[in-house]
Amino acid sequence: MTELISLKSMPDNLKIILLKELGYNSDGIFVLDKNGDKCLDRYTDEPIKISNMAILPGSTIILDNNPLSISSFLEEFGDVI
Amino acid sequence: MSSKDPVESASKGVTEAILEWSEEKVKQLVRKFRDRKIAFVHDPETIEIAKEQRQTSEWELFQMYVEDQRLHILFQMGLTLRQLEKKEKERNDLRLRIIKKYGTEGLHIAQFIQNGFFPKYLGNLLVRTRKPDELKSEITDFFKNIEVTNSYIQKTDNVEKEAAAIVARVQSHSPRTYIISGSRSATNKCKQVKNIVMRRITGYTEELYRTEIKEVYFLNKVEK
Repeated sequence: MTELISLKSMPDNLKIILLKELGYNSDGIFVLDKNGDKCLDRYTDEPIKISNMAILPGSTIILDNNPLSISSFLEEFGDVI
Repeated sequence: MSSKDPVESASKGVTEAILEWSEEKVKQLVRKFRDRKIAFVHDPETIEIAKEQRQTSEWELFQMYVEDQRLHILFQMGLTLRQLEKKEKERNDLRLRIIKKYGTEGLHIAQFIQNGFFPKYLGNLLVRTRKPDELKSEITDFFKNIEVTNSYIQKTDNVEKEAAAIVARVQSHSPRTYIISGSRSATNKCKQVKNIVMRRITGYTEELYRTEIKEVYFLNKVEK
């Protein structure tokens, strides 16, 4: 069973370190990809903020932490989390 | 008592670590993430709610009959809207997201589910449909055409105008089932609309499902 780690209490500087460890980055507000472009939520096409992100296992998928994106992820990948 | 060490907390299944975040702890968590043992989320409740919806009887029934992935997600959104009934801001945010992604038609499908109409619709259809394959296509078609098979009456609606629109839809599309529903202060208006429609169309019978706050009229096409 995959454990869920809440990012609510993680300071932003550590969120950025976390993203860098996973091959991403941040400008302090948005999640950026390796080219420095804003990462878009794969289901809503909206830029993902580090203040409301979900980092899900598999191919390291970063989403906006909203019900539509999360349900879409579960529909696409099954109950992997 | 929960641990304050995020890594230890994760290994114990605690979802929210509170203190003692550090660069080293983050790196330890990344190793666990790469082993697929953990996921990072801003709000674990969002995932818990999404997972809960996938364990409901309604969902089990729905996915037995409908294979369309878009409808699956909208069904889940309907269940989530229902769960968020007392959280107005979250509910409105989700409604806007649904409209942005799936349009007002998508929202109407989600609201149909939110209102608990699917089990009643399925029950209504089961007694009229003998073949399982026919049932599947009937349900899928119903949702794909929800704008011409379903009307949710609101208290601000004009009775005559709504009734005329429904009559036009029934006459041009001849759906096997047309649903007219309303809740709370709109139930009386809902009944008025239904009465006008039934006077103006032929070949349909009506069936009423009523709860304390909702009325749902199924207009069933008479089978020949």
